[in-house]
Amino acid sequence: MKRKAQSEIVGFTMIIIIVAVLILVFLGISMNKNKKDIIESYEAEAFVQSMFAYTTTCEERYEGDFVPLRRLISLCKERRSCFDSQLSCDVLEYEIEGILNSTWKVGNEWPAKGYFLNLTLRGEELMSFKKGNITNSNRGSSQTFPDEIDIIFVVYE
Amino acid sequence: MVKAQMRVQQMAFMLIAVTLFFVLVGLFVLSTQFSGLRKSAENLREQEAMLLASKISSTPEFSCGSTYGAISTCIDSDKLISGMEYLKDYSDFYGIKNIEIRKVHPESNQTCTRLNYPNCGVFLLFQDGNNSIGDKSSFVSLCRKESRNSKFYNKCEIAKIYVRY
Repeated sequence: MKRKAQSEIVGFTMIIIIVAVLILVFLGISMNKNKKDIIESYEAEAFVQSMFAYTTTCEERYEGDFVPLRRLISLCKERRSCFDSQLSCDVLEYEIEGILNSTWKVGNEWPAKGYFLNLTLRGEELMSFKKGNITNSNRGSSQTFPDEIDIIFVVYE
Repeated sequence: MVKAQMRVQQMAFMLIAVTLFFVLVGLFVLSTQFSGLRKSAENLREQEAMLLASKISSTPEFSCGSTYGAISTCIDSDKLISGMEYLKDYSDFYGIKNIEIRKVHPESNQTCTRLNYPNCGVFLLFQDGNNSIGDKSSFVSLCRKESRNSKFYNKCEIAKIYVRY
């Protein structure tokens, strides 16, 4: 009789332990976000839109014909030079780097721990920029602009 | 008597086990629900900031209109500097205490006045910082007309608008 009662209790305990372990595993899987999932962020979206409207230092046809970043991307794809003979791709890289460095400070002391920006034109990768660390928490934006310009921008927190 | 005591004990253990089981299930459900809530709250906060920035930048006192092409959330800094003095009276109209527009690229901490414009980076409007309950920020394009060799061109920079209410 004692043995039967004891074995019943042991059985109960084992069931509880198994269920608890299963629930913990479930919890762990659900809390662990997929790194590839981007959480859409309006701030990132607004940043990308204002970045595309930024007036660069590249003049296209004549002095004073400064082009916005959106137009500079198309010039870079066509491998054209600016009016002062600078390569449009060099200017594009310089401008985007400057914008990202000024706007998104990354590091342990900042809210943003890293960022990633990828620029593609008509499906072909043009440029990508990465700084800092990739974390599980991220906010970003994936947008398509006229002239088939695709941009993915992600901030890691 | 001993048998009855055993039964009571068994019942007690079973009840404890079942309660523990349901508590664990409840914790699991709450944790998944709360993680979703946090994301929604964050998204809503951002959306609110975006809407507020759009609302302000689309008013005639600030907006670029069609002057600079189709740029969403564009603020005309020429209009801003011209109208900064009378805009102070619009605090109640917008329902906000303070608006700050700060150039982030190229960065500048100089407060804008008619004397140093456009070589400055911070536009301060309303300036009633008393009893402010919160603030929102969003990116905007800050555009103006510049001239070179007697030709005018559009110059747009990246700025952040901070709204305190």
